[in-house]
Amino acid sequence: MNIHQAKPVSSVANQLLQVVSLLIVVALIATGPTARADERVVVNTPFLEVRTGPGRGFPVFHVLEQRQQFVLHKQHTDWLKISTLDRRPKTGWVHVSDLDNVGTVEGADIVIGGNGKQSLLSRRLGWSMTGGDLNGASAISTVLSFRMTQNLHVLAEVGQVFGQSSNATRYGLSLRHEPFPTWRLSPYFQLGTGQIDTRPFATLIAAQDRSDQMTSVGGGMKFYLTRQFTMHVDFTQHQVLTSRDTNQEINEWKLGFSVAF
Amino acid sequence: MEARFQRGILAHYPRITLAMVPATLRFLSAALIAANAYAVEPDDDPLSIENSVNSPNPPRAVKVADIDTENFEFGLDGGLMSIEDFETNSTVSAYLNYHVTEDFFLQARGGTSTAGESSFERLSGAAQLLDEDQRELAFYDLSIGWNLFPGESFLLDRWAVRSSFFVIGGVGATDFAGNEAFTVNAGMGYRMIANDFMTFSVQIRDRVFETELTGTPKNTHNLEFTAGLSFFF
Repeated sequence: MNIHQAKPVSSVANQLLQVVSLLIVVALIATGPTARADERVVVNTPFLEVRTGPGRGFPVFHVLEQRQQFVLHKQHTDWLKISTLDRRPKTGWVHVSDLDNVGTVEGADIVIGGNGKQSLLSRRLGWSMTGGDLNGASAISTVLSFRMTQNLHVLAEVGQVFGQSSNATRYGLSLRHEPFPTWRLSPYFQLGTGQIDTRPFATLIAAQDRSDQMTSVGGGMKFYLTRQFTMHVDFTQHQVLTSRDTNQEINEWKLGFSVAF
Repeated sequence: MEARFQRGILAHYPRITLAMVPATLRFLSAALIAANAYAVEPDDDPLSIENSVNSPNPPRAVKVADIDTENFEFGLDGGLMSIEDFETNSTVSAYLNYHVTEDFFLQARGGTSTAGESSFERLSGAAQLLDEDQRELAFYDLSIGWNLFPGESFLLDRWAVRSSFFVIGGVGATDFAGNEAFTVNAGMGYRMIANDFMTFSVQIRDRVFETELTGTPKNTHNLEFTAGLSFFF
């Protein structure tokens, strides 16, 4: 028969107290030094205008004074939604440039995510839509790009070509090199490979759908417009590797707009 | 008998008691302190140059705000499309907007409609220009829109609605009459922002593409009037 020595009640209570206090310490330490949304911030400028909506077309309905605290919620384009800490909190929108001088309650500075040209280099994904002329035919395409290094991108393109006697769908994978990515007007050079699936119109006699590989060489200029938005003008020469004796060489001009995420 | 057997098995496993928890937590908190030590800004390091006796102002810590951005808008549209030569029919479409700045946005849109009978088909009685499949019109386009007059609009005495008038234009493709044609579209609309995440909009757009149904190629103008609801996310 086993006899278990009963533990005195006070020692159990002591252990529980130790556990609870250590849990609190762990919880406090586990929170790192980044500011989360819904964090209280303090106005460091003489005043801060708050608008009813995320745009300059909306009226200013409230003004926050220096040393007043408010809470940041979310961001839409260049505007941040905030709410005051009054008894009846007011909710409004503040432009991100007006928040250059806000700080935390403890006195640290807060940087609200970069949106300018510099931020392009830290954004990896990009999406563009382009329209142009491929050997006399209209061509549109969407491109998904991934920034591998400051100068190098990998692009995946899907597009459609609308010609006089046939339509085509093309898929491409290319590598783009931008020697000066921080310039406002930045040139680039591109090399790629792909496939073009041509569908001749039914009115033509003995015309069959065909699928050909193609290689592309090209370059262009990229213009930084605003926020993460750029425009680019492109010239590419494609070599379509046909099943006939000679390969077909086609030139393409295009204009595109891209967004970086 | 059974109880003795069970105790025998359990005796091989370490007994987890309440006494072990403080030790584990002490280890955990020490580990976390060590981990967070690396998150301290270099300016707080007493040996760095910035913290030398001669620097006038103590450097302030900098935090990067992690704020949720809501620039994408997904919407559904419905209304009428007047397909040139083939009556006016209902249309539905879906679109995805990305707001680049408060002034302009990018849109990817796709929709469908079904053409009716042309006057020629109705009057001639016999000849059908298009079969059932060819009457289905499907389109997609990529456009850029510009918010022209953002502001507040007022409904009666009590309500102020955030709104903006926009113009939009782009390129795309239309699949109709067994042929996929390059399409240019242009239009305008009015958007009313109900609350932070929901928007109601009406718009009118002209889709221009080339068809050769009558033998000679011609540019057709297909007007679209739609109303829709969209959500920000």
